Amino acid sequence: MASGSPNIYGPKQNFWQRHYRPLIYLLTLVCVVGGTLTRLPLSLSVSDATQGVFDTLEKLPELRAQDIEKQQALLAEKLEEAKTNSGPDLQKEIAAIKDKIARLQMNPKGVVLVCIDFDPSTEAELGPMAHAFIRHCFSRGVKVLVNTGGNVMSQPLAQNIISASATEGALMKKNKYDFMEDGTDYVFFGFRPNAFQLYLQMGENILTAYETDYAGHDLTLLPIMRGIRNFSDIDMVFSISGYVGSPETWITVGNTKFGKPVALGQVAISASDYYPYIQSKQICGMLPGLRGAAEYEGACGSPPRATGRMWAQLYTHTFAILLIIIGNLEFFFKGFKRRKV
Amino acid sequence: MRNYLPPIICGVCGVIMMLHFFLPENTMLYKTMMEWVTNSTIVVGVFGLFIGLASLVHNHGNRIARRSPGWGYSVITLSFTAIVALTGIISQNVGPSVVSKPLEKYNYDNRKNQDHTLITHTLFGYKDETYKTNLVAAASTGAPEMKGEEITVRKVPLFMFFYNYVIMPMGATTFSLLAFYMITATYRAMRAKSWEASLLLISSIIILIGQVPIEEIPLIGKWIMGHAQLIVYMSLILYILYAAMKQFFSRNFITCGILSASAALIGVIWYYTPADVDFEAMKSIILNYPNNAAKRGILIGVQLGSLATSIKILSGIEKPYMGGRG
Amino acid sequence: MELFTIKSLPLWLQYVNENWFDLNKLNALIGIIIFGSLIVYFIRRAKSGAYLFVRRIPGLESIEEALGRATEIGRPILYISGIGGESDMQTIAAMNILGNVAEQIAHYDTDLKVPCINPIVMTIEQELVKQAYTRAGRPENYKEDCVYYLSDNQFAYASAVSGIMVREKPAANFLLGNYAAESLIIAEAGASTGAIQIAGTAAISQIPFFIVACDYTLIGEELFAAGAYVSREPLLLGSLKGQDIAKLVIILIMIVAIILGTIVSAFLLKDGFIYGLSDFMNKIFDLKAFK
Repeated sequence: MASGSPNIYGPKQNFWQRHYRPLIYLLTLVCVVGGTLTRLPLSLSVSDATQGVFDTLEKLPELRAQDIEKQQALLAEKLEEAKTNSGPDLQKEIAAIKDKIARLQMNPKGVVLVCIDFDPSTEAELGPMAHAFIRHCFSRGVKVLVNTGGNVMSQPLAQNIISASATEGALMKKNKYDFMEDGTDYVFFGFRPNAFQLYLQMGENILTAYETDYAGHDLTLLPIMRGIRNFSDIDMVFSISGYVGSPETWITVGNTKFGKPVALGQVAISASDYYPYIQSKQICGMLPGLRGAAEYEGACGSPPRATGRMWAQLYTHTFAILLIIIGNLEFFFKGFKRRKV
Repeated sequence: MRNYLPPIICGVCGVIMMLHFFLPENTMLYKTMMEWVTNSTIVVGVFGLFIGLASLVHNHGNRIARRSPGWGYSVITLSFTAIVALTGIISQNVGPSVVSKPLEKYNYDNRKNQDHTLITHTLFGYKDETYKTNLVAAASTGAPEMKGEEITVRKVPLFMFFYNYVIMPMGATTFSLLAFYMITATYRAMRAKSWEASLLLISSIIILIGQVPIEEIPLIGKWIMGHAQLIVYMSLILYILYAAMKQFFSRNFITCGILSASAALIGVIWYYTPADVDFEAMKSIILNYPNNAAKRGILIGVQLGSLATSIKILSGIEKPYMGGRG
Repeated sequence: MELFTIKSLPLWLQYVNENWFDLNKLNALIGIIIFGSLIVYFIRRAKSGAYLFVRRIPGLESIEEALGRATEIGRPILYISGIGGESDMQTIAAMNILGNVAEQIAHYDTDLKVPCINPIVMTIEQELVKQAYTRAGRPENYKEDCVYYLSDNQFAYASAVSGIMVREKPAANFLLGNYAAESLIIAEAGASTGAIQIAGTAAISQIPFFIVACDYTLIGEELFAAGAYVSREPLLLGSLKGQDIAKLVIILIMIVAIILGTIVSAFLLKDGFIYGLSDFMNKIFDLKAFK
């Protein structure tokens, strides 16, 4: 706890005690640069939180098939009812269910909404997980809807990520996929203000929330939007956020309100805040920081952008542990010295 | 009127929003209210933007006019506000050029003739070298050799240029300061001054080690990972025995006895801990159990505090929008 | 075991559920009524003059010390109400404290600086500080430029605030409100200038950084209690008490639910009174209790 004095050691100080701050900064820089230059492969075990995200995406075709079955069972029920009691309301309901089944059948592999809600400051941690997740979706034939949260700074980043992921698939060694076309395989809605109300509107009709995509194309003319009207046509939400409050919004809207599986991608600082939601099953999984991104890349065979950065994290953590040990040894020996006097 | 109208508006709007939460979603009333709230928030937000801009210009303009200390920063602030605002308004065709070649497409006959290129940035902007960079990047991912001499030239909007070369690096730089501050804060704060501080110390070391693949560290990495339980339990036991010894020499025999019994209990827990529990498993246990319990406790308290504050504002007991108390 | 389904309800209730009131949220409404009633009850008790004990919060006790120190040294006081918007509860709590702090500052005639990240919060705080100076009887000392807008970008704001701290060297920094990653940058910048720092946030992940870098830290709901604590107004103290009793009710429900759940798991119960009660307790906080 700083008590108004910038140095914890008081008046009598040796070289280390006078200059510990710049020395620590310099050694941290050495660790980070060394880690960046280390180009060796890393194998990481996948945690339960990351596995949850992976498994949910892999199960999307199953979830969609279950949805279609439920709607078909409901349709059969309503048709049975119509035999004895036919009215205009019932006919409307039957038409709506048929329309819903047709929409669900247009995207049998599933539809994912990815909310890219971070700015350049957190791009180092969250960028790789966005890339890995979207590539995983493309490699499984899942349609991807991308929007941004409440901050306009996310839009250019999201644009870069989705267009890179759409074109890089054909160049990958593992999990290749064809070039993804904007408007057919994915759509980027762009930025709109007032995120919470926007998400609620998406529950009713996405076309009232977003009339055009980021480039100004009318959404009603895009092939991908033929099978997607509102949240009930989306199978999963993946919110990658560097901002406070955004994940809670998605948990409230996506999971509590619309009953969809929600996965989160978080910076490591905030990740520990969201473990309670995993336990209560309000989220299906989470990618916690750079480690989560690296685990996910390993699980789905994406190019190792985050995995490469793990070396810097490894060296820095090791340095931090050494510093803690040195600090505590200094603390204990000071105590012994004081008692001797 | 001036004293009554704002609290009435606040109360009525608050109650409407509260009732809105309880409405079924497929009703017309819900949709109408939703649209009204969305549009109102956008309008108020836009006004807020202008107020912010006006305050910025007024504040910095005054500093420049009075030549207050640091007025040079104000000149920079205002000029860049104007420049970046202009780049957002002018045409997207104004900007640096990018020279690129399209990648070979595989069985791609039914797709439109799009320019599928990987644009990467170099240190000094977009250059012809960009294509070479792409070649290298593409080659390393196993793409077939590039064929054809077809070249396309397109403009990158100036706004994106500013975003990629000014805003992105500066944002990343400021955030990366955190790493340095955190390391010094860790060094300053992680001392075993009391038993609570020691618990914090041990759990933070477990999580620091569990978060990274420590076995990759040469010479000692594999040993640390393989002897996780030895390191953690032995440290705990030794620390508790040290504290017990201090109590013994201070003639607090009861405390000494309790501490010794705790050390023995930890030994028993160690005996029954499965062999496959390593730092990663311990990290998961700490994050999933004590961390969740503490977070939930604080969350419940915070949400109740928010509920009480909301009730106070809706009922007019607190009026922050009117300058504090009534 | 499903205790309730929508189809098991009478037709008129099903009609109400479809058109007027989502019955899945009935538990939320009951919760609001109960907790609201508790708060109102204790407000009435406080109004009638009953003594309500509030434990000592060191961070809030030291506000006067910090203000006095700033006045002695002759340096300004920096008040930062976080990066939240005008609808953020933490920002509202920070603004409540600002009103009280500004009133005390007006008495001491010290410089106050309130840089803001949100223009709407800025306008509210301008009014707040002006009213505080008026209440203190020093409206002539209020400077319009003391509350100003910096930038709405998180790190641009943090850089600007760090710059203000290093250049103007305030004697006391109040870091109260909603913070994210910039908390450590701002707190360390303040610590390096030797200012006394009082921080408070309900953002759990930022609390450790404040504890390390600041002299006093208000954790979680201490921030919401601060308005009542500093002003000692009966209405606010009453609501604080009501909030605490509401927390006690939740704790009791949780303890009962844990005991019942443990019995159900231990004895593998599938039906009966205890199983039914345990299931009911689990559904109390579920927003989809009716299927």
